[in-house]
Amino acid sequence: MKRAEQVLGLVLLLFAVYIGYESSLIEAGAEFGMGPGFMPFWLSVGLGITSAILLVRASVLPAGRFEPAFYPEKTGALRVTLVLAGYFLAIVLMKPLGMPISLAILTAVTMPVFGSRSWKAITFTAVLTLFGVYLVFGRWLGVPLPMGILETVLPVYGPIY
Amino acid sequence: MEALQQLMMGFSIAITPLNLLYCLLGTIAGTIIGALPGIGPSAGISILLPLTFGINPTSAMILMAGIYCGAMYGGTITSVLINLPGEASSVMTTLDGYQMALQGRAGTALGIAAFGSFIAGTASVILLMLVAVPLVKVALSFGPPEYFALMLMGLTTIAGLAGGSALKAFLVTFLGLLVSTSGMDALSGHPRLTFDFTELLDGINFLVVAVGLFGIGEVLYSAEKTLKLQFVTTTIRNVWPSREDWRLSWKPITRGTFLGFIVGVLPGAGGTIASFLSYATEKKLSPHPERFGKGAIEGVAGPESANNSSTGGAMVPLLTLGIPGSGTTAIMLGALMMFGLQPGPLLFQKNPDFVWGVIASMYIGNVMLLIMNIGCIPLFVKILKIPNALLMPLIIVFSTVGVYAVDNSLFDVGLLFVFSIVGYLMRKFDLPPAPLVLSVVLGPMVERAMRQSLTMSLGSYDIFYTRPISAGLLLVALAMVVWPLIDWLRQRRRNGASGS
Repeated sequence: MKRAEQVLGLVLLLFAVYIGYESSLIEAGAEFGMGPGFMPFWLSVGLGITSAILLVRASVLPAGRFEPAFYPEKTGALRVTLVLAGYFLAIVLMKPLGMPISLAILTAVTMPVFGSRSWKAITFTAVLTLFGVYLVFGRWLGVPLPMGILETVLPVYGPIY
Repeated sequence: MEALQQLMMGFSIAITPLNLLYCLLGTIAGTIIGALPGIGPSAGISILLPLTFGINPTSAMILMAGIYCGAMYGGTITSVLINLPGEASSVMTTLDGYQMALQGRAGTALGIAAFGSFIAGTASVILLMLVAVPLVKVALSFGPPEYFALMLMGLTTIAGLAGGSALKAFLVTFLGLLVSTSGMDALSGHPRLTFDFTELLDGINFLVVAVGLFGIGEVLYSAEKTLKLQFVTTTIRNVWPSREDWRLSWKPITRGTFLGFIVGVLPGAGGTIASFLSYATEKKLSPHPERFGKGAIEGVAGPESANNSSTGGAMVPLLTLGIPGSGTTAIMLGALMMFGLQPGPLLFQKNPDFVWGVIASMYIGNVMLLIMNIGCIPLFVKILKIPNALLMPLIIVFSTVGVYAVDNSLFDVGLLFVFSIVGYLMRKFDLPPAPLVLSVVLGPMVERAMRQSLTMSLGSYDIFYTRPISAGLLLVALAMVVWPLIDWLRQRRRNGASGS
């Protein structure tokens, strides 16, 4: 975890430097006091200072003061990666397949990660997600959901065929 | 007298069938949310907020207030029955509540928590009314420098009191303020930190950040630590506390009520600190402190009253000054602004029906919560047995569609993905999420107040320290920044002395 804190400090410091540079290109002054670049610039200075202290602190303190490992269990890391991968896949598919289908896929992918082993339950919940999202958000709350390939079958506006 | 008349008007709004329904839904949802470990009121409100689009702001706020109060009640159930706090503010209840459950007194623990919460919650709404009206009169004299100083004080206090590392809390505050500057500058129209994304010209919606951090970030964290809830195998009976239980509990409930309210008003110090302080106070004042941690009913009554009372206190700065003091109230403030309301002292003058309707609904909500928590505990326990395999995907689905619904933007869903990873990493690195959400909400207001102040003073920074209220508030803000540093130096010196 000591190494992870060092990496965090370094990444945030680099981010602060980048934001500081970007902000320095914007006008910092105005007729009275501050221009649009003032706040982002000084905030990046603040972020830079705090992340530098974090980096130094993580380097100076003995390793015993930190948690032993970033991921105590490898399976835990795998589960997080699977959920993130499933979520990323769902977002990518949202436009072509539509939001209800992509979220149904997401449900089917994440349920086993959280311990469900029954394929019947997974399939049933995924189908329920598809129609639930469409009916609750699309029809009842009137959210113009991206419907993708279902656009003609399950229209958000107008009567349900 | 004026407040009483306004309250009557508030009740006439709160008891309409629709508002009663929203109050009931809010309290039920809040109790469930509070009881589920890992999901707090901040997550609950941000996930459910999109469902309120299309309804009027008063009903939406009644729903949110119901969730907020309900979460404080709900956290007790898991604390007592599984030794796992459903909500951070119920941590102290695990110490004696779980011991009581092991001794077969789970019903009494849950009962005294419900009664104490009801008494404290109701008293805190009365205190809210008593404090809010005069405070609004004072706040009406505030100008931009005072508001700037007040918001700065709020941000530094929440960072200073966030618990854990103050350095990390300040780091997160800077990060949140930077996020809030993204988008087109309100005065000059200059794009800032948009990284050539036209979608970022309108800035980053606070809901994307809140849902990412509190909602999906938590889901990812639970994916890593698969949690199995083990309930105490006891039947919940005798929910009504005995005469002896009341004799032991009435003083802790009274003290917890006042302590919780005061702590709730302070920015950054919410229900968690209130319950910690209450537990410490009761243990110190008890003639038998050795009973604490072994099933002392005072250890349940005091902290549970304090965390419920803090909700009324937290509403004081939100409603009167338009400045939230915690992550949850920051989300409420953001929601109010999304509904086109401008929280602050003028809200009492311009929208009295809204303010008093919400206050009245808090009285009703507390009655509903008492009835539910006395009569329906077995039902909530059953709901808690919903497997994570069903609940967690449901949270992701709700969060995603909810965030999309704000602006009908798939770009926001992409941003949600990014902030979910940020939220998960923040949890891993022990970075507090509340200061980030608070600074995202307050950031544009801080900048606007600072610019208005400088325009008033023709560019001179003297305006901030030549006005007494502003100077006083800035001094408090400075103290909040310097205090962790002094504390660290003192600790170092102490460690050095003990080492030598």
